[in-house]
Amino acid sequence: MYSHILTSIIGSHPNVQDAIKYYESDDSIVAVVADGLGSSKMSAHGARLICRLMVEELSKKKPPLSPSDILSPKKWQEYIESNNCNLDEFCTTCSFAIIDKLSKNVCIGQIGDSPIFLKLDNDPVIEMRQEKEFSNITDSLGGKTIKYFITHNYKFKDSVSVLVTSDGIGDELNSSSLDSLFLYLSSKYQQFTPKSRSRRFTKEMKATIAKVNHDDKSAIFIWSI
Amino acid sequence: MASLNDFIIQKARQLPVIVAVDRSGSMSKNGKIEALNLALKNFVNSLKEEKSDKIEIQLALYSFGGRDEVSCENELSPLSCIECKEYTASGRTPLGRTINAIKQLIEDRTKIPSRAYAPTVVIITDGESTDETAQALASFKNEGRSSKAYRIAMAIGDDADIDFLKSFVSEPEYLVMGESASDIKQFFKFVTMSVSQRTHSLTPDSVKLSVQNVPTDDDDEIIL
Repeated sequence: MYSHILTSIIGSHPNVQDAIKYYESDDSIVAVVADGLGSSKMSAHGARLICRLMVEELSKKKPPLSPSDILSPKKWQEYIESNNCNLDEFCTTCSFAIIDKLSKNVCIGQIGDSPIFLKLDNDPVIEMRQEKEFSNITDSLGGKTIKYFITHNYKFKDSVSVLVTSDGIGDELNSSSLDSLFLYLSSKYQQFTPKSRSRRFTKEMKATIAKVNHDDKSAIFIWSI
Repeated sequence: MASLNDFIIQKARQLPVIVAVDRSGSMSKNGKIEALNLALKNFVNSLKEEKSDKIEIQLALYSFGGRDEVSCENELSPLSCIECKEYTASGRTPLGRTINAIKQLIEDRTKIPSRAYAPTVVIITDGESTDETAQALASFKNEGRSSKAYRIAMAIGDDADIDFLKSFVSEPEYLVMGESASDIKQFFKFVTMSVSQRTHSLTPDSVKLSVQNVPTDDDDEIIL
């Protein structure tokens, strides 16, 4: 059994540029977060497009996955170019997690600086952060060459939790307290009804992290029970 | 009772500002070093007035002069910790060593973490470089994190190393030409404005600076 919470909060910009998508079936879970670059005019569209393509693709695939197994970045680029649009205007990061419930395999992947945090069984939380130069300077989809995800594959025995975020949240998380954060989130939100969890999570986000920087803030947290 | 606040970094994102000033012998002429000392103090005081709960301006102050010496008078620190030294002018103009020292700071992720905004680097000089600059400049502009910095400079008078400074700045308009001590004051107003713009911008790393918009203040101009 798995539970999840998700949120996407607008930052100080007039339009939200993050996009998130969550998919769950009997066999698998897919979580995708994309962060459109503030400097790109159409980045919100780029972020939504890659989220849709990723869920369409990953819902039919099973981890482990290598970068060349994931065709969505190529489709993303082809789709934008086929509409005679300029790729630079659609720049977005993208991070994902896919959990195969049956085989207990997990794959996490990243293009750009949207951080992912993963806890397998009782091991400490693993961080997947891009070693970027400075805040808001990141690799992204939208250049002239097709980008490939950096992927990591894992297997768990009994339990798994994963947090996929945009950098507006992920960059603000203290590395030394990630295990406590995972415990806090899963124990707090498990006690609420599935329908109300994300609403409550969004409310808590707005009351805390929302004001620490100008960025949009998105997150999907999944935990096994 | 726990809340999400317990798990987040409790410090605002850092906006580093690194200033390197010329204290070589030629700065002793026409009141330049006195004007520089005054302008630098005003600059630090103006920055202290910038308030933002999302960004913390941090400042590092370097100077170059003496026997091709580069010294760091203030390590990169919050403005409340900055105390301006009174410079005296003597010696040479080691611009190559200066940008190497600044690069070393920028590349150090323990001092400027990835979470920080790209630094603003400011150089002010009135002379030809007395050490090798080509390799240092190429490395600063093209390699590593320093290549992402906002690079602003002021050339004081005809003897300044214009070619070096033209090549150093990130945009041609970020090189300000000055003739006199009063221009130093005006230049620091431009730097203050640029830092202020970035501090209050929603996208501090995409701000375009313009020297044209800096107000002049003839009333308290320094008379040489």
